[in-house]
Amino acid sequence: MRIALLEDDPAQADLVRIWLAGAGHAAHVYPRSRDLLRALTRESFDLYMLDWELPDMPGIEVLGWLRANIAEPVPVLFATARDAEEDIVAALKGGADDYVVKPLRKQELLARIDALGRRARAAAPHAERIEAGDIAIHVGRRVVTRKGEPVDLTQKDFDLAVFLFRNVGQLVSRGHILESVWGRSADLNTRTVDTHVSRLRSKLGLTPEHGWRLSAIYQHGYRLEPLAAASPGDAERAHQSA
Amino acid sequence: MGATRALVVEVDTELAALVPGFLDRRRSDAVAIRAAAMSCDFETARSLGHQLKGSGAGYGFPEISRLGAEIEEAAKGHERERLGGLADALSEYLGSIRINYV
Repeated sequence: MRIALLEDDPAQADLVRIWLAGAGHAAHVYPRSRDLLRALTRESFDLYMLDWELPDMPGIEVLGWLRANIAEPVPVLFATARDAEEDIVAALKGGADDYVVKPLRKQELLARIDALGRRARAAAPHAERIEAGDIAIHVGRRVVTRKGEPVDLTQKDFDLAVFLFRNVGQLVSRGHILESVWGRSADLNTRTVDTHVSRLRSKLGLTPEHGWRLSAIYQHGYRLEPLAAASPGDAERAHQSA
Repeated sequence: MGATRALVVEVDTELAALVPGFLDRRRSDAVAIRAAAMSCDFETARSLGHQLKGSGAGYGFPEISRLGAEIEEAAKGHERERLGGLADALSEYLGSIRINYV
């Protein structure tokens, strides 16, 4: 998962980053609340991990901002040395999905993050088969059809299609796409994303005349959205088991 | 002359690159906490104690977390002398440990 870590203590940030990397996650560290809020104008994440005590703006206020301004229900994990019952209650009532008291324990933290990711995936409209207008993606079989006809996609183009259709309507950053499709260690620049998006747009007909808009958002990333007027019912994603 | 006995602390090899810097910064923290106690800057002492409490055990040093919690508590209570003693205890602990990476 791509995780935003709001943590002002470098020792704590280094520790958590190493633990997360070892478990296959990519942690992006923000030492100030305003650094994170600024980054959110161009980045997107699978999970937010927030400290409470920060030099500029408390984590609890960042939580409120996230819940008020980020449309997607991205999981939030509070990780703080504050262990008072009223703090834990305030964070959970304020929209945090979990709360862990420092000092952190590696295996417990990783298990909690896995559990949050599992819950988020279960709640999201992901399925073994994604149907959106005339496009159907058989995730398990790695087959994409358009108007019933198979579309020949490379492995990365297929993964990109799945990622974009799982995030229909959402603004996803190039960095998020890159890490989700190519992996966090990929030594690539974001132009790679642009190239593949362009190819996918062409191969799947993700254009207004076919009822789709796959927009490049300046300094941020992409948003795939159905044009409701052109094809009502698009982006309906079916929950079917394989 | 009595030799000082080293306290052996086992630390995850994964953290080997981070631990020397972590311990150096904690030595600086001990100095800063002592200075904060002297000048009655209890908020600085509280904040440092809070960070020590949060980070020590994660690195494999539960004693640092324990002392951090006490420092935070003493700072909240504006207990100047206790803070000085805890800063000394932290320095002493940091000077007595030997790391064994496992």
